[in-house]
Amino acid sequence: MKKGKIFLLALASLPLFTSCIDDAEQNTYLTEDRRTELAKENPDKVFSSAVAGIYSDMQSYVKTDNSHNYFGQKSFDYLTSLMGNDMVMTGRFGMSLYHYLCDYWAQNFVATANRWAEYYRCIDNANQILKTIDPETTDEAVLKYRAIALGMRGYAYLQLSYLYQQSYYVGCDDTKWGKGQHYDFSESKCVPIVTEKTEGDQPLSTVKQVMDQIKGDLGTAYDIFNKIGMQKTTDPTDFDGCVAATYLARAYMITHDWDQALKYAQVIVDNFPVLKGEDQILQGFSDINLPDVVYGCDITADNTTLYMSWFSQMDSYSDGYAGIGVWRAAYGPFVDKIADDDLRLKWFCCDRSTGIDYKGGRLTLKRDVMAPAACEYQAVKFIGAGRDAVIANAKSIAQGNGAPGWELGDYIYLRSEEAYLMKAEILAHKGDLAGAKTALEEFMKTRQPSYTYAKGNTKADLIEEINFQKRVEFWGEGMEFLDNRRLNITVDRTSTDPHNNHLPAARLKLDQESRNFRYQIPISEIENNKALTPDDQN
Amino acid sequence: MVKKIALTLCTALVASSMAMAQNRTVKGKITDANGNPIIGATVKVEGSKTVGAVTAGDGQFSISVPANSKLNVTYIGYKPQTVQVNNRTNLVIVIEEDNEQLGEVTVVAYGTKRKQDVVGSVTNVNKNIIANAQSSSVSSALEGAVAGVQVLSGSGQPGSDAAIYVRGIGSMSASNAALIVVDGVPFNGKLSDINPQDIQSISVSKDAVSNSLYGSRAAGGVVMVTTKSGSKEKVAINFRGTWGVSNRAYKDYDMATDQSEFYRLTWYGIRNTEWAAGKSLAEAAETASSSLLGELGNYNAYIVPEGEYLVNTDGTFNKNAKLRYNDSFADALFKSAFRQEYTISASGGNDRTNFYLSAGYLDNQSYVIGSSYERYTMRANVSSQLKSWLKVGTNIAYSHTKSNGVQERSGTASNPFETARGWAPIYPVHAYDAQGNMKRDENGKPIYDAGTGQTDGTKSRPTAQNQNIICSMNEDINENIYNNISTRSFIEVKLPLNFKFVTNYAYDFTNVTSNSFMTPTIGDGASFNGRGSRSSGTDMTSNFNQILSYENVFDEDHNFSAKLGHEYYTYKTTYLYGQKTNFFDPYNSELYNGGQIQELTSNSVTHNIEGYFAMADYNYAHKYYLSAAFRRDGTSRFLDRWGNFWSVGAGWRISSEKFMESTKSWLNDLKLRASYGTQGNEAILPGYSYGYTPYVDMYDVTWDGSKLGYTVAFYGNKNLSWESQKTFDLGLDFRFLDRIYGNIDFFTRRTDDMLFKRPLATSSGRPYNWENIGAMRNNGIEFELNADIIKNKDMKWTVTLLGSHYSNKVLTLPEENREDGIVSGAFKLMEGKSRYEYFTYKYAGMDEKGNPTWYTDEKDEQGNVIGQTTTGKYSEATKYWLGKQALPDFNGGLNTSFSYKGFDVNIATAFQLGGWAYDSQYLSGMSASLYVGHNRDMWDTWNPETGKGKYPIWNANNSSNSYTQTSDAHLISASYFSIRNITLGYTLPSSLMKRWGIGSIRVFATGDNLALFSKRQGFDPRVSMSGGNSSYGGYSPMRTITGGINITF
Repeated sequence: MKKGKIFLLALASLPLFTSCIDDAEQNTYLTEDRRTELAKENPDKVFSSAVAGIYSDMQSYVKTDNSHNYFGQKSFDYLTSLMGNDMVMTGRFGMSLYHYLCDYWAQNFVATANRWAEYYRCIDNANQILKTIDPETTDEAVLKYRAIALGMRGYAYLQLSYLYQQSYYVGCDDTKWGKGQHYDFSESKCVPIVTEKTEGDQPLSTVKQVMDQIKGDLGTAYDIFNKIGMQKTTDPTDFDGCVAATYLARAYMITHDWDQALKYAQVIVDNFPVLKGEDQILQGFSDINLPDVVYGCDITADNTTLYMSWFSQMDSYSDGYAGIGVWRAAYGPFVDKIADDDLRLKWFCCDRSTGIDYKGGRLTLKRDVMAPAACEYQAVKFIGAGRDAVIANAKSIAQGNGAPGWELGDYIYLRSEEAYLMKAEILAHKGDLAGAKTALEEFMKTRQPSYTYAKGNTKADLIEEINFQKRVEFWGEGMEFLDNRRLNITVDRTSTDPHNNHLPAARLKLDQESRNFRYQIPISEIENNKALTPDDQN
Repeated sequence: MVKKIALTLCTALVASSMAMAQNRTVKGKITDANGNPIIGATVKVEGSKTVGAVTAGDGQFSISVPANSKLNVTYIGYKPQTVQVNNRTNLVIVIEEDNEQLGEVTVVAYGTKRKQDVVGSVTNVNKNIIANAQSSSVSSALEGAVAGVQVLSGSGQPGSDAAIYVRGIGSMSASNAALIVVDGVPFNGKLSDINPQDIQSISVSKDAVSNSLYGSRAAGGVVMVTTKSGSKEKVAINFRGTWGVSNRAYKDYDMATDQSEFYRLTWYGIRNTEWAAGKSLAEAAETASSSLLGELGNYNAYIVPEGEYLVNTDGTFNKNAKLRYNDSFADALFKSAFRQEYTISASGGNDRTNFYLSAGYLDNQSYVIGSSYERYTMRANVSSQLKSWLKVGTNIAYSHTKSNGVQERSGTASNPFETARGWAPIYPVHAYDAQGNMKRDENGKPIYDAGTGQTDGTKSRPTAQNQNIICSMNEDINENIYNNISTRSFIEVKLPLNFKFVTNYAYDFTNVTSNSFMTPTIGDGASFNGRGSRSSGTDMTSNFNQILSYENVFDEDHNFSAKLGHEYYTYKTTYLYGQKTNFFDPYNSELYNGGQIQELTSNSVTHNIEGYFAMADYNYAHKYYLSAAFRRDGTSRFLDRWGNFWSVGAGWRISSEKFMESTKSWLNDLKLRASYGTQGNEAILPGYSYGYTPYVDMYDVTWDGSKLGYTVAFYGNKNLSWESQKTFDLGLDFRFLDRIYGNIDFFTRRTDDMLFKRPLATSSGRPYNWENIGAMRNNGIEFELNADIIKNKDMKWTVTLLGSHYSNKVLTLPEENREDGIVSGAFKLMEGKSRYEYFTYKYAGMDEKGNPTWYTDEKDEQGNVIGQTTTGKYSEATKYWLGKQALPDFNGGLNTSFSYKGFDVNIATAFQLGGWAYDSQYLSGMSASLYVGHNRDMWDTWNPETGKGKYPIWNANNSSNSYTQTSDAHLISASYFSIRNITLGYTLPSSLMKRWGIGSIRVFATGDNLALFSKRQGFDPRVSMSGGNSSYGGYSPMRTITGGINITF
């Protein structure tokens, strides 16, 4: 019996000495180990997915919660449009108001932190890909991803350069706006350059260094794309040679390197037509299959970000912000300058474009549906559901509902029209006024068949007209901001024109070198980057 | 290693033996003062730990003792008594109730201990505080109930647990919350799963010697909850029912809720904005009068004669204005709610088997519409002595809750508390015509104002069009169904040589199913023809341990016990979520009824911990104590798995010393205790799934409808390991004049290799990195002082004062951060300073035009700081040390209980002194936006007419230089005093009960959250450790006032 009990004691003690700790299972995220294993089995899948992840960020990245005006690159297009002359905020709405008041640049604000994080995340993702690809490789399947990663990185630095320092040159000789006071910012501190080769925190590089990085990255990407037959792919959602070329043309225009700029703009002109006719021009810019789309993103039910999206902010027929109160309008005197027979006038609901009575104090938008325009010069350029859906649901929309499918509108990042207008401007800068005029007229006839250039004969006059047509063409798409930065165009909302519909509080006048257009480096970067001190703040 | 220890232990124990004296059998009965038998009391021979008996169902016991020995009788809640046997063989012992000294026995890690033998710092919570708890979770009742404990509640939603923090901040970025142990096993459910009526006791263990046996997870202290068990008594059936009302406990900030005042205030804001923009005062006033309604979306709650302004150009309200509607959201959102709770329990047992069964129901509607909580609880605790050497038992609890929550973490339009405060009171809930009649649809139902022109004269509400929270809350579904099954089972085997083997298996399972539906009729779901989602999350925890224990008494006075154990813990959580839009039937929220799939996802993670532990306790004659424990833990959270934790403790009962004889007349007890030990922390905050394997890089998988992609979600750190904590505790327990008793403890708690979520430069592509960095220390003192001011047969009055003070200091930081520190929100981590030391901008008053200014460094041309100046540009301001910190200087509670015959009164309060909190919630009411709710303090903004004001000018066009920017101006004293609970009761006389054949009846009334005194109306400093409320949803606690009855048969 006693032996039995001792046996029992021994038995009972047994589990005390058995060890069995297991690894934790992690079935939520893709882990590094699995990624590496999968990369060995199927490198194309892993690289293509890494790239798709960057695309996904470009569509939807947001750093802060509960802020419906950040959604990747298109929110840059929207918010910078608010920082110019041509877009009007129709009420004192909390969201985006301070962008519109050009008063959202300081180091502690969400705006600057959000953009910084978005583009450096893109750079980091690109660097991660570049680290795993041998730069000497000749394997075309892998080279493709090297090109995309370089291209994306170049794009991200280009975007940073727009916000965190003045343009390389503020303004240009022989333009109406002339040179800025300081003008040459090439040696000013810009942003840190982080690449696959750098280690640890980096100090600020100069604008020139950043522009060199941009040109290097995008140029290499473009060359690879050309070499592997990817100058233009069939899928507009691909970052391909034409995408790289567009960004390169922008970069070379910034540094006044007109020949190089022309070379790359010409790539787009050679590869893409421009939109033509009502069906295309008034479609609503929500279909990446439109012929002018150089680069875009297919928005589906799987990746839509609903209220936190471009069409929520921009589409007057949506149930997003623009449809239910935060109406988008264009600057009255700007729209007034658009020719009556210019098809693009129909993007804006003004009495001239719709021809209705204004007696009851109520404008009626007659463009496609019988729905009251909520405000004068209301913009109806961007339609997530597309024009056909708006016409089909006219009655329901008139009752105040959104067009079904507004949240599924595709994102268009780059359109070929930009290159056509860049080409005209570059030719003008180069002194080829006749060539510039021809390029402009050819383009404009697709919008306004009666168009002939009839303004002054100086270079300055011509560039001003090209710029105006570009602002009309790209209203709301962020282009005005980029050109204002580059060409030293003052933001002046103080006009006494009775059609000046800017909010009284926003009637300000700011030249391009004013503090308001230059985002401060986010305070978190200053505080945590060991290579920076508060004195590095721009 | 472990084997060796066990072997040595056994040899040592077997070697010693015990001399047995000649014995005789003594029988007896133990009763209370009323002659009722006491069941379950322990009778022991003094000086012996092994020889003992437990009284049976009739209070009888039988024990074999040496002649002329002394018997010690102990029973929870009664005073211990010593009886001289004196050759008697039949005794009747009457023991005296001791309400004050509940903790005769206290729960410690893996067992129980006599309170007087504990060398660590363990506090038993007053049982009245638990019994009177009205809150669905007993956690909030601990506020002010235990010295050294802070209770923080981020939400008043019934069913939500408050977080419990013990002795300051042990960790920088990992969890600081106390470990909740229920019936001996770490508990992953919510404390609100447990019906407070099922709780026998709660004790809070604060120092290393008490906690190191829980090793890895006890660094934040341990709250040990023990549920009731059967007591071998005659079968007792207890019914408790309460009925009452719940209301919002504390007023919101002082908002301009009166409509006419709101218009006048907004007029003031517009006028000053216009003046600041350059207009003359007269022009600005004219503009304010003419544009007032336009700025407010033409919402006019009054009817004004044609051509007149609502607010005159002198800022007065138009006398001819007739009220058109008064229908604000703030009024519609809150109402009194009915509360009812019932618990019925049965307990009893026989010589072999004990049982406790209970069932409870709580219906706790909240004061905010759309928020409710219903809970069913059941518990069965059965144990049986199957053989003389074998005991088994199981304790199974089930709780089922159904709650409707409000969106506390969402924007102004969806969070009712934000709507109530942040929406102008002139936006009506319903639509009105020009004459002020409520508009109705064809069925006669009132039409809601959705902010898109329903109310005549309006076109667009300047905030949240197409939203109406009242309508949404009536039509939307935001329901959680929660089930928790919690089991604790054990097998206890008595082995030879005073060994005992216990194995415990605990399995907890929780499932929460959420059903959310946004109606197609209005709000966010409208343009999608309805949006519905379902989610199901399960948590499964199992805890399996095996403990070999030994207990013996040598030579009467040498008490020795030891334990050797192994424990394995696994946790698995799974989650499934689906969302659809386009619902066929607007009143059917099932996904089956929906069309388009919007989201479908699932995930799961696991977490494992394995531990080995050993402990030994020795005391000589309850005078000298020694205690030691060791635990080795491995966690799946780190690649570097294993950590070793240990503790030693000693105690000295000074009052038992010979030289203290002379004090015997007044000093009942005096014990000095000291302990030192280490614990670990691996609890990277849950809620982030990556926190379970923070050593690997992880990627989010993306899908755009055709392409799979991935982006970095988290960068792992392979070197991450245990955060370790060393705690030293020195305590003194005392009791004198048999009336005044308590304890005082000094502690120092040092954390090394802190788990820290270190912010990185965003340009690195990584937002932060989890690292083990630096060290931090908390030094503190805490005390509990009880006084039985009146103590006689009919009347008792006890007052308890408890409190603690601690200071926190960051000791070391990594080399590269040593000079500049690490900025963390409004704080900066710096060696030598508190973790919650404010480092931010300093407000410097107003300039001559009423604009705010801030301090900034003045620099010479080389960039050297040569002084301080002020700037009106916020972006140029400099951050400074403010010399203020968030942590309170002192916090505690003052509690009292009074009884006279059958009447009793209990009052529980809590308070905090010192500390500064950042009051973000208040600032939303100080916004310069025109169309939002305003705090009445906005009247005190700088007035251009007088050139005076307490706050800077109201300028709606000023954002980057607005007064509401982060600065020291918004710090507020975090001191408060709260009356947490008052309970009045009356127990009917026992003579009457005997006549009625009922055990006892008590009727009572109780109120929770009766008052809060803080620096500013609406400000509650109890929502976060730093006192700041930026992430607080505004769900203020409930004031619950109920009446009830407790009947025992």
